[in-house]
Amino acid sequence: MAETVARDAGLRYDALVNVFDRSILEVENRVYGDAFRRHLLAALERTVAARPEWAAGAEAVRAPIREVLERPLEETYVIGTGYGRARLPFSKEHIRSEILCHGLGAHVMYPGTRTVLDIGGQDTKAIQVDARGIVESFQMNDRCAAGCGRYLGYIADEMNMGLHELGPLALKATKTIRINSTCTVFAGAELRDRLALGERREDIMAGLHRAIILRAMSILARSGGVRDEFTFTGGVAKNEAAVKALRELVRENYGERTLNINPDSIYTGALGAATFAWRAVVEEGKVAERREEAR
Amino acid sequence: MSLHTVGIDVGSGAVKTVLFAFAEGEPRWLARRCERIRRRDPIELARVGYEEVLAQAGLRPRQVAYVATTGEGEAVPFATGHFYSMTTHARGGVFLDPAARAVVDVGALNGRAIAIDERGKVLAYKMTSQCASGSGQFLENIARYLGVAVEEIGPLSKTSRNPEKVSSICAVLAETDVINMVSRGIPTADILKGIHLSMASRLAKLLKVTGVARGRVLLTGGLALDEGLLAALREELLAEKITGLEVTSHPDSIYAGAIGAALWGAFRHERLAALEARAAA
Repeated sequence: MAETVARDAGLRYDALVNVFDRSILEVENRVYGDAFRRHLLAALERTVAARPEWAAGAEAVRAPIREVLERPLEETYVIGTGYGRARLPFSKEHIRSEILCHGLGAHVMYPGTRTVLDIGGQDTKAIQVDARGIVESFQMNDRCAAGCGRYLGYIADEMNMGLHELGPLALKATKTIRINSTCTVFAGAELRDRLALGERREDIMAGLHRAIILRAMSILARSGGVRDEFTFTGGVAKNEAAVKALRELVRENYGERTLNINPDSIYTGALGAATFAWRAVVEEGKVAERREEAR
Repeated sequence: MSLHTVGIDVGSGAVKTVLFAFAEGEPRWLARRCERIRRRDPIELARVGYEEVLAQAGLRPRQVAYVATTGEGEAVPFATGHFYSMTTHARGGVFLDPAARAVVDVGALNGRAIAIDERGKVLAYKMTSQCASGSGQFLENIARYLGVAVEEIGPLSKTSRNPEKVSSICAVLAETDVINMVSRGIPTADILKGIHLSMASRLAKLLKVTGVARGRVLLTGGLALDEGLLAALREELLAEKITGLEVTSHPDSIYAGAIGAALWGAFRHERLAALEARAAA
């Protein structure tokens, strides 16, 4: 679509595409739609095919499933979150901060979660949650790209590589080069210097991944450390080299911790928001019930 | 016979080379060359600059008494000696403007303020570190996001009447910040002016730390010719109620480090010659 828009406006395609956060693209392009509906019925058909003796009862199962699937979904409660939450056309009680939603989302994915680390494109958040998934404390990076996903994006641009290639490259390292710069731009310059000195790309990459995790470790420490279980979310959680560095540094500093990473971690915030909405509906129901009882 | 020296300032954004001749101790600037690095090898650019200034003056390498490097030029293989960039910028600053009592150098990755005396001796200095916010590279990135050519930054910034206030922002995340400003409908000129003011406030703080209170301040480095930054720095000093300082720039400000290196090179060469003469006698 951007291509058409760019052509019509007489702009360069990449100039237009640059406007979007690059990590969002993949998610936007993936279509989920009514996969659930298809999967559920397909599973039933497969079961029937595998066990012909059940065919007689199949219709009895199929009918209620169809009925449920065909019932139009009704929206009872919505919660909005994330950077764009202020622009959502919702009233204030339907908005929750991304920190709250993230903490709760991680709790829903892994109920044992006490510490959440989220490394996204533009920020790094360390969140401590209680047994119900409610945020106790949090810390995040402040107006600085060092230690968040954009850092790796910048390095990838600098190396003329794709973001997804960095992790695998770093995993091939035989040693870890120490990166001294904090600032992303300086780290880029340091990368060039190291390359000029003849260091291997793999080893420098390992150092850069370690550097980003070191920044995260300091944010984690400020938020109250790493408690068991520890859930890692955000786009950087997909990067194996970053996960490896995180595992090592957590073990060094806090001892053994259970590290949870969900392949769908990109939905953590949305899941948290949905859970808040669900809790609101349930609470409302309880309030209504109590009112009934009192009457 | 006159003495010739070459000064090479290898910065993080450009390599600056100058050639000087000295007759009776009086320096005369014969040739210059400035080359943006743009992902090329700085050492190779230093060689190109060296050959170029020699060609301009019609000299051969053996006629040069001293090749002095500064900045990140320590690894230049044909150099006679290397000088610390604080001292070369101070010396170059006084050469360009004898009345300068402070030099504010704004380069591609760093900013620094140097307080100097009338002979170019460094009295105090302070530089930015750890963060590229407010550097030349940072401004260039922003101009790129805004689709403004580097030469247009200054003139455009000066037309701003309602600068957009920005605190210091990350050089990398500025991309999103700038996108947000554009989508809020803020004119390009006001964004640039806001960025200039934020940079100026950092520079003013550096100046304050060095303790310079009066006299002329010379802007040097790659951003010295950005009239928008110059105007912003003047405004910022006024806002900070620092009235004793007069900020100026010089058309050759970008060469300050290289000039300083060439001058110090001549100085060291003569010292060494004198020592050798004494040792021989």
